[in-house]
Amino acid sequence: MESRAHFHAELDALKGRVIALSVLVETARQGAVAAYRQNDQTLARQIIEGDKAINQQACDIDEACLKLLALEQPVALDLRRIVGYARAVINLERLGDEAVNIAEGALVGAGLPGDCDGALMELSDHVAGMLALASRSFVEDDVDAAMDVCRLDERARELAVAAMRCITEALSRCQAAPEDGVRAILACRSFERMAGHAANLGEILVFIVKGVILSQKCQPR
Amino acid sequence: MQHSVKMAAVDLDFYYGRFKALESINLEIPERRVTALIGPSGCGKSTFLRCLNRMNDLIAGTRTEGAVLLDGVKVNVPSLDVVELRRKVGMVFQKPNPFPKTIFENVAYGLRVGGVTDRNYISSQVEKSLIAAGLFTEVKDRLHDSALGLSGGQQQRLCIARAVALEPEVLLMDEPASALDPIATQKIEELIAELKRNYTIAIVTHSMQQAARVSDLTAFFYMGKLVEVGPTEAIFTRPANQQTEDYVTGRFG
Repeated sequence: MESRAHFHAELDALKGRVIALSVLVETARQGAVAAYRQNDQTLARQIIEGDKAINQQACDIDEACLKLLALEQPVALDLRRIVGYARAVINLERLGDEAVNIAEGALVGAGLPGDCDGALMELSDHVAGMLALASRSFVEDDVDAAMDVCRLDERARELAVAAMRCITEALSRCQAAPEDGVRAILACRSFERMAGHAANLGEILVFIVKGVILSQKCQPR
Repeated sequence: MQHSVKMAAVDLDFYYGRFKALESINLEIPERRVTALIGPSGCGKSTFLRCLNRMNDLIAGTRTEGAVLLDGVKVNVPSLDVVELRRKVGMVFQKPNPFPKTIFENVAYGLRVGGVTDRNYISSQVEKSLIAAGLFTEVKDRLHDSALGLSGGQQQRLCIARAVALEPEVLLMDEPASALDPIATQKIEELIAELKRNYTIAIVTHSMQQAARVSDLTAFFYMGKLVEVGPTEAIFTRPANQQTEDYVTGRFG
């Protein structure tokens, strides 16, 4: 059959756009965490405003995927790549939304109750590590890195539970203002969801490269 | 649902003179399923198809080693009646090749050559075959017009009707839609889906999309070898072999 060099060049470009989107999302995540920790309302507003660009890029990539599916009728790895990228942008777009949620907490004056700062930031750092690994797996088509991201989700849940317990205990001991406690719990939930989206990205990369659909606990379905 | 094996190649080698065109082919063709044979030009897929009803016997200097089985019986033996084999294993070619006769006589031809003289039987068989080939409603008022006046797509369906009239058990199709426009191709593909209710079909195609649309099983040939065979869905979503992946995604060939 005829060579599909042009189509494969378009696929490479699509991969580049997904990776560029992941860089935007990572920048938003870092900014949201910094805004939350430092109560930086200016930075928080920038993150919220910047989400429009993330949403727009996600839509553009989604349309590009649809176009390639319709016009090129891809199969095998090419098909998995396009379907995978379309799924990945959904997760990246939602990661951007969680960054916005955290930034909104900063905007209304979020504080960290009691001595839960360490627990929440441990969770935040863990999520940052997961996202960095997920991005690397996409850049290098690295299945091992993707599987590691998937497995790290369990630890993220444990850290989220520990952080929430710390916050609720601080609230019950009246060591934190209720508003701060609620915002911190919401931030906790945002980090936990971020970890879930990072794990999804890992699963998607495994699907793209290996054609294997992972179920709960990172096992092949 | 399990389908029994209708035809099979067992350690099949095929030679054009000293050139080995097929090497150690082991492939089972399940009954009442469509098996697509894909691969780049010169990979041996059409040669393999023609081994199934010994059309290659018509080429001087060819020989086979190993076995081709029909219902478990070896057919590549000199003692076998080739005419009877080809009645059971019919063939449709790339270019429609109707005889310069009427539509009716084209379909009746095989029956007459086979010694059938009962006019009522021939008439009913012609009608039945044209219906099976999805052509009857289009030609029923001009059965005695020349077949050469039909469009390319109609001519190809007439050739299918001609093959079906002999009530074969297996239909071999060698790129049956490659000379047709998209609408005629679509009709042939719809027809294949209907025909597999009653016939075992093996089809050679250069169109990946066609193989994906019409077949249940896909076999990928490369340089005379069978590289991979499996459910069509698996071949086109997650092939096990890297060569298959590279071929179906257009990275070579």
